[in-house]
Amino acid sequence: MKVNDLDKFLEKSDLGITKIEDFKYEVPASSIFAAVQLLKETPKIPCDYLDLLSASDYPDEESIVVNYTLSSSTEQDYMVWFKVSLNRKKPEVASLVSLFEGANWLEREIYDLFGVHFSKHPDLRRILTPEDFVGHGLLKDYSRDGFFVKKPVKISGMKV
Amino acid sequence: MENSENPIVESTENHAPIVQPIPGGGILVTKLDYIFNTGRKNSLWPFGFGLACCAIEMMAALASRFDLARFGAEVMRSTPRQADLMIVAGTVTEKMGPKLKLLYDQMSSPKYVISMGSCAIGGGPFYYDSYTVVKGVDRIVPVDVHIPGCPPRPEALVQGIMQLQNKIMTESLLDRSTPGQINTSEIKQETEI
Repeated sequence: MKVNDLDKFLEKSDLGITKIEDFKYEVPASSIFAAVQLLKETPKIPCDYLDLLSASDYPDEESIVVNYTLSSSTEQDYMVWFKVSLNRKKPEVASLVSLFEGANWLEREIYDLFGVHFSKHPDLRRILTPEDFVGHGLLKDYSRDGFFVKKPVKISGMKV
Repeated sequence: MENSENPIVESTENHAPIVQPIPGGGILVTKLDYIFNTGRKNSLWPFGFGLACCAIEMMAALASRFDLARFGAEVMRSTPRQADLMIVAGTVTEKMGPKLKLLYDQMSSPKYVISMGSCAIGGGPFYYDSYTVVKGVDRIVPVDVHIPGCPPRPEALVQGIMQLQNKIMTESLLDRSTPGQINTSEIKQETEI
């Protein structure tokens, strides 16, 4: 499915999806499961593979953005991005494990490092850091006395 | 070491290299130290603890071009029970730390540790802004030789092992203070009780 057709198709779906750029959409947290399910189960769209799950922290905007990248296992160069902005104080989003088994560990990693709670995840435990680890390492305001050393030098123009 | 009970120590202190007492009585010629140490230093069996890219250099040091077998340290063991030198080659994370300590404790003494590369020495590039990397393996286990580099060349590892061999040659049977080694005085006290 070409870009214009995909735009129209997603607009029609009535899930509150807004376009950022080609193949890149912003999806509200409440409808991400439905949106991914729609992509997966529509035969015209070859998105049958969860390529990547990532997140980033924006403390100024009070949000954590989770990125979903869906691609095709048969067609080359076909990739759809979904961005979901979550409330930073209580980040919560639906788990995709019932759609993609591979989402299990990816979601555990994001839970571990960002503290995003994936509801209905079958086994939401830490995966990279030790089980008794306190806090979430990739949050910008993470600190730990005697262990975590903040870099003292600021490079000009670098946003810390 | 306290040897107040044994009069031989005081009397032979001025010419200690020739005759020395051993714990529990008896006299030992220091040539025996030489024999023990020579045997130990020329048959170090390393426990390969490859954790990151330093392990690649360690493998290169073992291969034919650098040939660690020239120094008797080519027998890489996969189990701590058969090894007496642990080469910590790579980044030690906080999750790996307890396992590293457990494996070190499982080695039989005398045992030695080489900390290879910047990460194992002091965190290296992961010193700042890192939430899981242990800032130096010497926070967990006692280290005999540090080898700097990121990663160190195989020659550096060879030199590190040569330095360790020099260190082993300075050891004596009288010196039982090395961490992890048996303190005979403590054992005596326990058996008396």
